[in-house]
Amino acid sequence: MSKHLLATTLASAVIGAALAVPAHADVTIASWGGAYTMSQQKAYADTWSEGTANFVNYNGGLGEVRTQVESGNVTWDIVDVLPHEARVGCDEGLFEELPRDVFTPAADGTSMDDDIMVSVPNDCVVPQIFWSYVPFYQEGTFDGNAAGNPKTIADFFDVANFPGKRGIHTWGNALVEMALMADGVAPGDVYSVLDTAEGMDRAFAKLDTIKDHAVFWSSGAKPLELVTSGEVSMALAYNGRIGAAMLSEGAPFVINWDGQVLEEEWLAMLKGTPNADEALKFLIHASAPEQQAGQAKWITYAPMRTSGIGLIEAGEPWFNTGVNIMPLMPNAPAALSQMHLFADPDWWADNGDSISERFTAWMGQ
Amino acid sequence: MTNSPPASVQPLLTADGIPLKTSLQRSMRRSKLRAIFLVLPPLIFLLSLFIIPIGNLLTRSTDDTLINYQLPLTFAMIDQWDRKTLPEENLFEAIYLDLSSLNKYLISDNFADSVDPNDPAWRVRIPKKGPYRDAMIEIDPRWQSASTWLPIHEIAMIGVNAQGTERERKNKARRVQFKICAYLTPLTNADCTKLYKVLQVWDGASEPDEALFEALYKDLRSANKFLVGKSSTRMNYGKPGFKSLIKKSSRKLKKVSEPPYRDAMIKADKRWGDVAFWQSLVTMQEPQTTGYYLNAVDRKWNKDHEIELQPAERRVYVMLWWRTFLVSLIVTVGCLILAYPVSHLLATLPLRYSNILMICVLMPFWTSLLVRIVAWMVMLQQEGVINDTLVMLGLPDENRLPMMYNFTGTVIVMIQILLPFMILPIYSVMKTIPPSYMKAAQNLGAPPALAFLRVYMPQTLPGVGAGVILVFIVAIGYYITPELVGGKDGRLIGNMVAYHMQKSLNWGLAAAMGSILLAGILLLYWIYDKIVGIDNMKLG
Repeated sequence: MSKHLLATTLASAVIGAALAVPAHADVTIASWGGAYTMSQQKAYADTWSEGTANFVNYNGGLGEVRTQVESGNVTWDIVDVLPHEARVGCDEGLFEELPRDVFTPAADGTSMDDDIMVSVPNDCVVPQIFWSYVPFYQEGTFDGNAAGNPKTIADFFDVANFPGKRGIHTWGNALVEMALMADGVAPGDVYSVLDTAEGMDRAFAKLDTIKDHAVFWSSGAKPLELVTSGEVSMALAYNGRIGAAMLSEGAPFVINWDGQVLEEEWLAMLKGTPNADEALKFLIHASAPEQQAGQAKWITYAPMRTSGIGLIEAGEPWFNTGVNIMPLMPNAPAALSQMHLFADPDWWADNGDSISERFTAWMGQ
Repeated sequence: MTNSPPASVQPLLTADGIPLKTSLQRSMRRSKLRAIFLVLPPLIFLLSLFIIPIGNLLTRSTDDTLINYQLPLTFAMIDQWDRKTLPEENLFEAIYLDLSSLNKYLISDNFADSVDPNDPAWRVRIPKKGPYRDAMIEIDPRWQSASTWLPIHEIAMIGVNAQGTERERKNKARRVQFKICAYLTPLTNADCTKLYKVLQVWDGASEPDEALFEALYKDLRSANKFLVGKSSTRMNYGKPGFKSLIKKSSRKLKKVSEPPYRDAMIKADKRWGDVAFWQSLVTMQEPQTTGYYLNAVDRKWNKDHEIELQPAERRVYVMLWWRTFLVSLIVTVGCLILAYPVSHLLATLPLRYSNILMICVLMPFWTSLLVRIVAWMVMLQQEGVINDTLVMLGLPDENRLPMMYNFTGTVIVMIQILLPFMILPIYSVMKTIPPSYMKAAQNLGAPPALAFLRVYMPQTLPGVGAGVILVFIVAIGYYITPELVGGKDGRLIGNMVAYHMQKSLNWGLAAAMGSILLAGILLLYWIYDKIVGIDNMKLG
């Protein structure tokens, strides 16, 4: 009896395992989750006819990618990476180098790599979006304030004239740059100033001025809650989160583009993935101008491809709820006409660790 | 055996005539085998998922071999340098050769050999456009014979002979390309595509021809690119700026082919003229290093092989170790104070009340961690329930208490989350203490307080010990709660370990911190064993 049972169990386990092997390969993409992944699902995966794309959530960094690639047990095919990881991953050989001529050119014939506002760091990555760290507040917060509403990044660091707490993140990216811009350094000089010991001290001295008024957040939804509840009067947040709250929920937020720090976001293929052919097809699809523009229907992150911005501009109102989206794009002409900075990933590759340590020490003092 | 039977006495026999001893042994062996068989699955599980990764962790924390693959010549020559003034041409030549050409290590895979800087093989230049054969044989004559190529030929044949669908065969072939490179280099993520192609057509016996050497050169060259990438990440831990320095110079040095290299390198990037970068190289010389452990306590090796403090602004880990210890201690004591009376109630109340109470203890235990953390955010934040109530009761609005996104928040939330780990062991021990003992003590004249202290409490200590150890050990490695509610000064060492695992990719440092945590826990366990005795611990 028990033998019979064992045999049945074994047999069903074997059949089960056989069934679990997928009949045709899907593409697995590791991304950040939430509304961001939802926009990728709608704009890239749902419109893709050559296969099935599945998303898994991850928390950034190349730790998992490195483990998968070095052990030869690659389960993710594509990963959505920040500018720093886009460079390190290619330098260390964790990503596949991709042929550049297979990608869709812009309508006017400009190749993909020339259709991007920043220079492409290497042959491993394909463009995804621009996003930015940007200060914002809730309408009415500064009613009756003698100095009026805050407008510049200097106002963000000015707690005397613009009272209330400030919501800032628990790591140094964008904060040291903003501190210097608020202190009067021109965006073009920020990194050369930060390269000196005095410049770095100057940035942290500026951060000191808001430290006692700072509420620290570490997850992207938090600054919105902090501002909505009134716990802080102003906060830094990812521009897409603010935009999504404004467009989808009608949140009365005001974004100050002055002093924003723009960051790149790239897609890359893991080296040695068994689904390389399908993954490349997906990347070609996802990096085409139509799809680049399409994701902005769902979240206010900007396509990295210039022709994508053109499509949005021509197609307004672009957002899925039928409202204009250009005012919320971090790289729209209006936003870029104010003081802004494209974060320098090479500089951060050199100094990220030491700033992370210094920033942690600074927070805990 | 004290009374062994005399030899003449007949051995005891079982019913079927076999000596009892043999029969007993046989049945014992059978039950032992069965026991081993039963233990085997968890043993394999533990070995493969716990012991081996921990061993891996321990080795990673001291391993610095990769950088030694990249800069063998430099490290062999750097001892001759005075470590104060800018190095002479010979050291510049060494680092130029290490960075710009395939070095002897990669070509002959002789990492274990000591490096002889005078060996002319280091300075053989392989022409970039070929022919490759003669130059590579000059570096390592072993490549001349077919037998040196056989192992990689065998690996390649695995790919050629792979079975299955076209897709499966293709993927197996791809893995084989990685295996060839893993055999030739210290990297597992480089793919020797060209070698795979030419090895397929090579018969495995004839003299290796130019095509094989070309493939070998090109594949090693592309693997070397990744080695440079990884090394520069490693070098940047020692001195920020190395990453871009290496990247920039390896791009620019391609055009340099003639000495003097010193001028050429300083021209490629002026930081080569900065003696601080060279001094930092001295600290990376040892293939087995204690450097990561030193980094984990805000110290480092300096150029003279002495231990010194990190620059003031980078000192953060000692502070984090203390904070982690302090938080764990406060959380443990807090849990104990809260758990003891609750456990007592649980153990002594009539069943129908204690059941309800037990559900109250277990409900949060079963609730998702994230849900509980978010609930605490709602309660404790400055515009939260507690502060709103206090303001209603007359606290001035601007004096709202900061209880979230800081040290206090971390402690409060961790106490609530870890409370069941304290209550359950204490409760299970208290449950076994007969109430009659207390009554007897009081009957014999002890006042209630004394009876509690002298009779009841000592009996609960095994449970308390178990709870304390459990909570402390869980708390000291806590990661997700401090990450979410820690804010400015509530983040712990676990968060730094995660940062170095995921973001900075400094696995050596992460492993060193993990090892220190492990050692700390073992030390505490040992102290506990000495003071209380581990036999006294009862988990239920």
